[in-house]
Amino acid sequence: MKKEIFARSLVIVLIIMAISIPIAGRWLEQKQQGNIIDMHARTFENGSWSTSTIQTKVGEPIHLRLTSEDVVHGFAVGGYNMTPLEVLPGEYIETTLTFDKPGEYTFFCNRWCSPSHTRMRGTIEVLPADK
Amino acid sequence: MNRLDLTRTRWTNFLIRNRWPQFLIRAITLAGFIFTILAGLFGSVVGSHNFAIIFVWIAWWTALKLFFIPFGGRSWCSICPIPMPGEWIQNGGILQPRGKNFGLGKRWPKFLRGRWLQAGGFLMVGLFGAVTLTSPSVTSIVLLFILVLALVLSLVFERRSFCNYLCPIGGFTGLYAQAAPIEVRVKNPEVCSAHAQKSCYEACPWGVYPLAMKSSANCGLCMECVRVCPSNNLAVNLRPWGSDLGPETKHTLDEAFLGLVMVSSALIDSAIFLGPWGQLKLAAYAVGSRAWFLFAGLFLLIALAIIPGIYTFAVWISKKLGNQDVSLKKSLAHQSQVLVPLGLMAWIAFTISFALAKFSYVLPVISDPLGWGWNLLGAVAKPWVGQSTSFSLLLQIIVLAIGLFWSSRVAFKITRSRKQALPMIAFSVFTTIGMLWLLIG
Amino acid sequence: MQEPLITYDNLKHQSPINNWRLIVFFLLGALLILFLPIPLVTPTPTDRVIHIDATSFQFTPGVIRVNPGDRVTIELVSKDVVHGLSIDGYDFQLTSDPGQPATGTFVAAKTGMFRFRCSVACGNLHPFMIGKLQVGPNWLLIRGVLLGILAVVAAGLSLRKSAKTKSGNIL
Repeated sequence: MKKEIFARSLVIVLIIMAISIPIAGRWLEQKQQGNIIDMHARTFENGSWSTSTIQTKVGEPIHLRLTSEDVVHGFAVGGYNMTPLEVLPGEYIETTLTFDKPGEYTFFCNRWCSPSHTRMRGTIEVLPADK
Repeated sequence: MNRLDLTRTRWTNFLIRNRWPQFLIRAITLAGFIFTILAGLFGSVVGSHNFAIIFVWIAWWTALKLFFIPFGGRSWCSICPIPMPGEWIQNGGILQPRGKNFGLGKRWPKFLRGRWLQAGGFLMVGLFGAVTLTSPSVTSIVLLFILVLALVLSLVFERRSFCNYLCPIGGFTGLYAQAAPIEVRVKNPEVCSAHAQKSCYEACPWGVYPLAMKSSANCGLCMECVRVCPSNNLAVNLRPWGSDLGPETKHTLDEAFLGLVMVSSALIDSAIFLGPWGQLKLAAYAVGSRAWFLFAGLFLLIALAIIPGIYTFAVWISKKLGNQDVSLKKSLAHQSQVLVPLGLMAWIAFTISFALAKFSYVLPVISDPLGWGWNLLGAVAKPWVGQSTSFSLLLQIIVLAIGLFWSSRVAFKITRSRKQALPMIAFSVFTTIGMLWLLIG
Repeated sequence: MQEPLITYDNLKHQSPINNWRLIVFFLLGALLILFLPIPLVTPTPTDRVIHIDATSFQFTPGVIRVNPGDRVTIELVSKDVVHGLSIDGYDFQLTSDPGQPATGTFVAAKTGMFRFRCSVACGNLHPFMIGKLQVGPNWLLIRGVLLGILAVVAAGLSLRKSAKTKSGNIL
C-alpha cells in the first residue's frame, strides 16, 4: 500500500511540476518585468499591434519587449530619433523610449508585411512632465 | 534457435519484471504529455519556438520512426502515457495488475474491430496535417482530445480499447511490429496447457492470449503477462527482423488497407512537405476552402483508389500466374505483407528528410519551451534554417533500397513461384521510385 | 496427394562460403553504385543570372537547373512579406523585403540536388517553403534506381530454389 501511495504521489508531483512551469514562468516574469510592455506584432489582418496605445510622460521611459507572431515586422516611431528595430517571429527584442517633448507620436511597422501593412500603426501619448 | 531471451539476463529481467522502471518512464511521459498540451495552448504561436510542435513532430516522431519502431516494434506503446490514466483507474491502482475492472467493461463492438478505424484515423491526420504540424494550439487540442477520449473509452470499454482500435499511431506501430526484432512469446506451450486459469490473458490490457500469439501486431510490450505468469513461462525475445512475415502467417484485409494507407501517405506527405509545390502546400493548409476540398479529394483518390487499385491489379496478376483456387480477397490480405517493410522504410526515409533536417530546433526549444524568451539551458541560438546534407540524401537512398530488398524478399517468400512474386515486386519498385523521386529527385 | 512444390530455403541453409561470397559481391556492388565517380564531359561552366520570385510559400521558379561549375547569380524578389533564400549544402543566404531585390552569387561546385529554403520566418508554412536546385544531372537519383534494382536481384538470389514436398496449403 505504501508503494502505491508513493507511486500516486509521484504521478501527481510530476504533473504539478509540468503545470507549474508555465504558471511559475508567467508569474516570475510579471514580477521581474514590472513595467515592461509586452508588444506583440501581428499583421493588420491578424490583429495589428497587441497594444495600440501607450501613455507616458515627458522624461519617463517606456520599456518595450517586442516579438512577432507571424512574419517579419519592423518597429519605428515617427518623429523620434531611433533606428528601426527588426521584430522577428519567436524572437524578442527590447528597447527603451524616452520622449522629451509632449504630444502624440505614431509607431508603425516599417517592413512590408501584408497588403494592409500601412495600416499597422499605433499611438504613443506623451503627456507633459509633472510640474 | 535465433531468439535471445531478455528474461534470462539478470538486469534486463529486472527492468522488465519490476514495475518501477516502466512506471517511472510512464509517469515522466505523462507529465511531459501534459506539459506539451499546455505549451501548445499557452505558449508562442510561432511553431518553431514552441515545445509542442518541435517535440511532437520532430523529436518524438523521429524517435518513433527511427528507433522505437524499427528496433523495438510497439515499444512506444509500452511507455505511452495516453492510456495510463484510464488503465490506472480500471486497475484500481498504479502498481496493481489487472483485476477487478472498474468501469463498464463493455466489449468493443465487433463491427468496429480491426485496423479500419486506425487507418481512417491516419488518413485524417494526413488531411489535416499541414495545419496540425504548424499550429501549436491545434496540436495541443488533438493531443488533449485523444487523452480524454482514451480515458472515457477506458471507463466504458474493457482494456485498452483506444489503443487497440482507434489510435492511428497504434495502427501502424502494430503493423510494422511484425517486422521488428522484439517479441513476447510463450517459452514452453506444454506448461500452458496444464494451467487452467490463463492469468496471462486476464492481465493483458490488449486482450491478447500469449499462447495463441503468432504475430506481435497486437502486443503492446507492456510486460504484464511476463510479470503475472506463475510459471515464469513468458519470454521477451530479441529476434531477426521480419519474423512475423512469411508464407504461413495469417493476415486480414484491414491490414492490407492500413498498409496501403501508410504507403500512400508516405508518398503524398513527401510531395506536400518536401516538394517545391507551394500551391499544394497552401491548399493542404487552407482547411475548409475550395482548394482544400480539391486537395482532400486528390488525397483520398490516391489513398483510396489509385494506390489500392494498382496493388489489387498486381495481386490479381500474381494470382493468375499461380494457382487459381485462392480468392482475391485472401490474396489481397496475404500479399499485404509486402507492404510492411516497404512502408516502414519509406516512412524512415521520409522522416530522415523531414525531421532530421530540423533536429537543431530541439535543444533551443528545451531552453525556451513556451517561446517566451527564456533561456533555461543557455542553448537558445538564433534559429537556423535546417538543411538536408548530402549524407542525409545518401542515407535516404540506402534506406529505400533496403526497403525494396526486404519487401522483394518477403514477396519471394510468400508466393509459390518466382513468377508470382514479380507483380508484387513491380508494385514495390513503383512506389520506391516514387519515393526516390520525391525525396531526392 | 503430395506434390513436389517449389519452396524457398533461406540463405543460411547454403554452404557458408557461398553465402559470404554473395554478400560481399552485393555489398561491393552497392558501394560501386553509390560512390563510383562518373567521368562525364560537363558543359563549360557559364555565368548565369536567375531571377526568383518569393511568395508565401512558393519560390518561382521552384526548380532551377545549372551546370556544375557555373557561377550563379540569384536575384531574389519577395512579393508579399520578407522572405529569404538559403541553399542546403552551400553557404549562401539572401533576404529580400517585398519589392526589394537581393542579389548574391555562388559557384555551383557541388553536383547533385540541393533544396533551397526560405531562411526568414514568413508565416505558418515557412518550414515547408522549399525549392530545388539541380546542379548537373541528378546522379543520386540514377544511383538510387540502380541500387534498387540491385536490391531486387539480391533479394531473389538470397532465397534459392529447392524442391521439397510439402503438405497443406500455402498461398
